[in-house]
Amino acid sequence: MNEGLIDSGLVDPTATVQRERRRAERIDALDGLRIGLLDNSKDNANLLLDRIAEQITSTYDVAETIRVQKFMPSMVATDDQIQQLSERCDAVITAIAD
Amino acid sequence: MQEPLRLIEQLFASGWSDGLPIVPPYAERVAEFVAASGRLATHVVGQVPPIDGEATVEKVAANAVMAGCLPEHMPVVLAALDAALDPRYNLRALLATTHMASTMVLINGPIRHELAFNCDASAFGPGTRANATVGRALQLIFRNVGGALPGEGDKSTLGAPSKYSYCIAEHEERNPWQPFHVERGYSAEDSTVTVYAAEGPHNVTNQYSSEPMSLLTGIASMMANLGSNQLYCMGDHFVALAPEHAEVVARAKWKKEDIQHYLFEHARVKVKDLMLGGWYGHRTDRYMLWPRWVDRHDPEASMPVCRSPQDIKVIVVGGHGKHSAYIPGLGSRSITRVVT
Repeated sequence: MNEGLIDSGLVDPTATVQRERRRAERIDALDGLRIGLLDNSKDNANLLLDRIAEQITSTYDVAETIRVQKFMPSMVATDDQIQQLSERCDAVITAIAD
Repeated sequence: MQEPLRLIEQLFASGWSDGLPIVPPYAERVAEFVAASGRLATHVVGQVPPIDGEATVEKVAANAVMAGCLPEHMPVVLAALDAALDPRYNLRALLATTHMASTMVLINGPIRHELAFNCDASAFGPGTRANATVGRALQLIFRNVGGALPGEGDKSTLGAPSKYSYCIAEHEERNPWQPFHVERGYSAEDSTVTVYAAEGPHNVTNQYSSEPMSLLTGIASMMANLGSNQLYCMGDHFVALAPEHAEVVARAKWKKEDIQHYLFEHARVKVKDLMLGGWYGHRTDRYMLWPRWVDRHDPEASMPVCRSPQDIKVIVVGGHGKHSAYIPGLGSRSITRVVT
């Protein structure tokens, strides 16, 4: 949208190169899958994930649910937690309660 | 419309502005800024959260130009950005949080005078180009490179005026103790920049104390409030003593460590009050960062606002008058870098 400004000799101050992100393959159904549930550790995130776990296990033939909780909401999940989720899960649901 | 006004309006419409007019980042001017940095335009300083935009020296320069900086400010802006990208600073949380904290930049060393940073009267602003534009450059980088757009990448409920610009310098000449950067292990001849995830400064008025205890008790009272984010997140705190207050304390032969100990001991909140009005109410088990040596189940126990006296950073800032400031934080670590 700012081509006019760039053409008139201004430098674009916004980031044009971002870390490459690749969307995971989409899934159609949860049957037979291992589902990660990532809790951001704010109040009620656990309740929300409990309810989601109940619903997906009663609706689908889920192989396993794996719960991971962040240490604090304001800190990113640790490398170990991310690795655990990526190795052990086919899909991950995260809850950001507040 | 006259051409400069038309350009100013186009820049407002570009989405690059924080809501104030910006200096057009002409390629020639940006190149001058890059040259002043002594680095290549394509050199990558880091990935700026929340969107992990790549901060090249050229992008930093473009934002510094827009903020109104001079080329010689580039090394300061780059050092501040590098400090802010230190994982202990937790910039991702700072920029994305619903809290209102911003990045306070603290300048120490000879560069304060070389680049005309103000550390005297109205130290927190406004009125001085170096302070105003260096602080603003960092904020524009967070916006334009990091994607911290209000309501989008930046989810702050209230925002803060300090998110426009927030840069101070220490009044080292009036500091009876070591300057902040020397306390951190740097040489007095080094110029440094420190970033601190901070709320705005809170004034502590005391016109009459002639000894440290009553003066510091007032500051401790400002530090210990139930609504403080730091009772939950702990981290560093900053206390900016005005020169005249620093004099009162130093005259009584107190060292900086004495101030830190006194504030650590007196900036306390009773567990029973936290049970009534704290983040987790009676569920005091939920606080992850509270020190273990306080009995969190004893209503009469006193919880400190940080984990050790050294977490309370004491600096000397400002001009005449008997007003100091307590600067609450988000609850992360302040980070210092040498300006090179």
